[in-house]
Amino acid sequence: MDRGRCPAVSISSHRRMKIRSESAVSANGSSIQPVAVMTLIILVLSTLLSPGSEPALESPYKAGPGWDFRTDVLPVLASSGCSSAECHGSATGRGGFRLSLFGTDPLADYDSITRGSFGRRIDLRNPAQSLVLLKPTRQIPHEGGEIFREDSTQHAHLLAWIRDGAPWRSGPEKSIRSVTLEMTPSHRLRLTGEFSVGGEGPQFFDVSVMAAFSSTAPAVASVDATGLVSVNGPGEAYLIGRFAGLTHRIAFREPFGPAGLAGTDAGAPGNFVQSSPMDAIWAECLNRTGLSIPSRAEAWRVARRLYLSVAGRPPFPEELDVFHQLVRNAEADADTDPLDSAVADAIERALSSPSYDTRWGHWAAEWLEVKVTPERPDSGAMGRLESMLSERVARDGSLLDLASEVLGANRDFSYLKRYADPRDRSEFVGRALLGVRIGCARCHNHPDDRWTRMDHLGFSAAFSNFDLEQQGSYQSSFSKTPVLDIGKTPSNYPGMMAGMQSGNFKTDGDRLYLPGTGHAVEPVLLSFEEGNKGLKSIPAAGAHDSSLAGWLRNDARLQFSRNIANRIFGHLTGFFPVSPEDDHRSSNPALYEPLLDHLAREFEKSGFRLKPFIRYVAASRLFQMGGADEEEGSLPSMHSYQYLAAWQPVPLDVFAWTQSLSSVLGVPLPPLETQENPLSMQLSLLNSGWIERILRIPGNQFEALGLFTADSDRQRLVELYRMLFSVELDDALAAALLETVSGGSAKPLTGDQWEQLFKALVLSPEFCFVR
Amino acid sequence: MPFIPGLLEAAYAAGRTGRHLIVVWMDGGMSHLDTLDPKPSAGADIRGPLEAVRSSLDGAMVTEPLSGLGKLLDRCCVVRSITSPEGNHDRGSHYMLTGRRPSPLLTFPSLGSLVARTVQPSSGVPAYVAIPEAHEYARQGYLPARFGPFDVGGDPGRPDFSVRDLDPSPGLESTLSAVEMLRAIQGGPRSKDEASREFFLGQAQAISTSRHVQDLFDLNKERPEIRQAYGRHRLGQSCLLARRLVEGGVRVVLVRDQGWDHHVNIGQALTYGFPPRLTAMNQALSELILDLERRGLSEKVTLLLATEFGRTPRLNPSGGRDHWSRASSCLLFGAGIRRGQLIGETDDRGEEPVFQPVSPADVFATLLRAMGLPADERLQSPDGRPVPVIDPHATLIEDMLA
Repeated sequence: MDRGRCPAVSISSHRRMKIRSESAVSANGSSIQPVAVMTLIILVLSTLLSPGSEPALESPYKAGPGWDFRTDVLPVLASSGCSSAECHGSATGRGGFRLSLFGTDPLADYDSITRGSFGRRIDLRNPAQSLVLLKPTRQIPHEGGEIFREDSTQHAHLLAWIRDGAPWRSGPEKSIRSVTLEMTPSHRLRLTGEFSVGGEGPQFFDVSVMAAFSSTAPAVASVDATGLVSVNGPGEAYLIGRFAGLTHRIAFREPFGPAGLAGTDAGAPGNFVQSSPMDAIWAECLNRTGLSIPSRAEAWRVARRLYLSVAGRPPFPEELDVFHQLVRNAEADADTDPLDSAVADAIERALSSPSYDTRWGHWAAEWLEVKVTPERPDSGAMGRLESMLSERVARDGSLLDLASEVLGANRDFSYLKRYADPRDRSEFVGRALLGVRIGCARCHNHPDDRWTRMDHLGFSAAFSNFDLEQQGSYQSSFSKTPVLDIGKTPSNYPGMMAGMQSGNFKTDGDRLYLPGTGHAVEPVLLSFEEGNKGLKSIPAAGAHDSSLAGWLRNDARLQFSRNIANRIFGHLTGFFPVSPEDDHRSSNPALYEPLLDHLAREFEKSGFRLKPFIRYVAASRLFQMGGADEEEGSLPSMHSYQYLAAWQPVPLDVFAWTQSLSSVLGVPLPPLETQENPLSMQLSLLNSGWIERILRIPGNQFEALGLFTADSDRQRLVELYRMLFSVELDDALAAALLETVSGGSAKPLTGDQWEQLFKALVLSPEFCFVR
Repeated sequence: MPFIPGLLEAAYAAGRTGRHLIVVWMDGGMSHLDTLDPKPSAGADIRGPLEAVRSSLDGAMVTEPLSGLGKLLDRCCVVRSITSPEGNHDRGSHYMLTGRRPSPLLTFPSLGSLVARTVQPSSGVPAYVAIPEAHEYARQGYLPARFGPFDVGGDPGRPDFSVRDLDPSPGLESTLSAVEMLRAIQGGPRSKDEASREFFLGQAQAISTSRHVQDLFDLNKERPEIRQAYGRHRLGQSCLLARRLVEGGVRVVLVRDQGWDHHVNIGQALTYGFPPRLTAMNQALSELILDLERRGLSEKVTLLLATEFGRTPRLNPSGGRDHWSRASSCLLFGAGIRRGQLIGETDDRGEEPVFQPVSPADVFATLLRAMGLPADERLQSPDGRPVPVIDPHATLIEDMLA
């Protein structure tokens, strides 16, 4: 309808009244609220008193006829930045005006704009004088400055909406099903929305002009408000288009060099052989990014890295001997890779080492947030849990089974009992088992998150009456409780939102109530299927596998696999495809998504067991890649590390460093007493005498080296160096080191001098990092 | 990068005011009613067992054991109207020490770390020191580890106190020479993590080989009468050490005095012991203020006395006071702080502010301003989100500023 041609006064008067009352009903589900009634009265009076209204404008921004606040108005605020986190979209708003982040809570935003601040933000009698127009055009002071001009299309669009009565909806309902982002040859983003208008569809509209665009890596590619992409440097970025609470992303790559290097001799040693599907995917990722496949690390470094990453200790001298012997044997056979059999043998040795159990038990404890304090390493519930996890790791059972026990009834674990608040329980499950920060939605909806605040509440409710006695299944008490379907809008929505903002929840240990409603929340579970809204109803009592563990095994299985595979791969290589590890979401994609997809599937194929998966990763060429070339006086180019085109040294934490040292010396070590911060740690290592003391523990390997194997200082140093660093030390360098410590004296080193030298060796980066 | 590189320069520029900060943190929740906001007219169940006396600051009283400090309040700024929704130790401490209410996703950097960020690395002198160790939320939060505090450990009140591991071990020079040689053999840092570790190792070397830095931490270098004036107890000697450190170039010192969580018999807990807690506080704080003035440091050093929340106005059946976040007090003195300023007032029962209520975020933001740091700076969280240094809703307390 072309309203511009209609008799403005009569038509718009009737229309406003009708629309306004509709909006009141719509916004509240069933009844007109007092505020709405008052607004209606004012509107009627203003309409009657109005000398005449300007003809309504048809804006080019709208998708179809009439207005739908969600699709026709909110996106303008989002694309103008009004609802960004820095502005009114922050958790508590700004200047007393709060919008949901990027318009993810339309109902609350409509309430805030049309009714908040006693209705001052909208002036229906004189629409151009509405605060929502005066402020962003800076006709009156606005802390955020000028957002758009008075003659801008945004201004005209919002003005038209207010002139039409600022409705929640007028005309047919417009719902948007999806958005699709694409980049034109001229490097401009175009976002297309698939709408259903009045129940009919699909209809497609270009919504670019109202979309908000962003980039995950502006250093690679940035995008301006109009969608124009600028290429700023080589690498990989995801470009994101956002409209009406929906997002779509596309990958963007600017190669570092000419593509097509993978599998060729160009820029890389020609001996690259894809030893596994993972290597093929890695090579393809590097190829697309225009990066060369790195050369393989030297044999001794592969052995060292393998033992350190898998078993948490350097290889013993005899293990090194076996490794090198196997390499030499294989070199005679031209058809086989000289390292493969040595690597396979070393992997098995490392996996069967007792230190493997300790190391991966420690990681499993970290994933499950089991914190053992240094003061009480072996006592208390946490200590018992960590021991139990080490034992489980040694047995190499399914980690999915273990996670199911966490959710289930295993009294020995008692994980969820650690949290009194159901929201803490649900957030723990999200973080630890699934790698998702459902807790983000505790404070506000986020456009890049799949789940809203209401979803977060629903998921938390699933844990509110969780009873370990009941084998982790759900109670039936919900059927007796007034339950609010989180898919519907509660009657006192604004009050409830205010209650949520203040954290004013009520739980009775059995149910989770919505603030100010008296209703318990209907429990729901997270779903990770593509294409749905990310929630799943609780299975009916008695249904097959209606437990939380059943949900994990079926609905959340793949996400669990992605989460754990990402962590294992990260601990082995220092490279976490998704980082931070607990933040899997669409706007934080994995670097090399195909690689993580493959790892997740491979972990699932391995029965969710650690050892087969570690074996698979450690045997790959990827794991054996060389380091970055050093540049004189500066750090190597970081993009090689960032894009997995060179091995980045992995720091050993105190636990791993001590475990490594203990293994070299062959004796248990006393705890290193120090404050937690890194400076205190370095001071302790230098000055506390701890290193000197551990060298005097009877029976340690350092002592044995001096007593039995060394004929000379130089030989003793070469042996020690090999024990610590898995490589031979050149005679000349050994002599130079000895001379440095002895101060140029030709005499044999004293015991004290040996201790000083040993200290320097274990403080060197070569011992503190997996290079 | 965990922070926006361009802003670092701006922060350094702002940090050139060269102001230092001492935070005396009363860990556990110092009772406002028994220290800086007594209610002598209230009933005994609220007034508590301690008498109130007038201070040198118009309108402000203190409890009798703090009468010495009371005489110096006309040089200070006292805020009696801090109000917060966080009544749990962890959450309250996070709010006060970081200026942000706790988030399940992010631990914010503390005031000390934000100030330490502005300090160009120098030879050996740590930017931020905690005595004896920092509260969990007085650390660097999501910022890099190098902006965190150096914990001295131990009890400065003990006669045998010394900071652990500062003294060079025998043969350290020989070890350091070997470290250098190994660097030549094995190559320099190959990643940011290796470079960061080198930074701390280098700092440890510098401290271990610098007599100047070791002396900074050595209380025995102070004259006995000065040590006596501060009080030969933990809080007194901690405050003296804090003064020594800022005088020697440390930018921020946190003194953490634990044991203020008095749920039982608060009168006795505050006035008995060796020494009584309030007596120690009175002596240490008074002498710190006087000493800073005597040495001409009051224009260079800002002092904050703070806690996570106040305590319940009505004594509980055990004679103690429980957590009460709706009202608490803090005291400020020195550089950038207005002298003789009383901010806010609580009602007759000390339950809540009736005048000029302020939040921990307001105090935090104002203190950053007093330190000369930019208020509109944004940092980048580890997951890439821009995070304003200051809570966007914080309001500057103009009356607090000089």
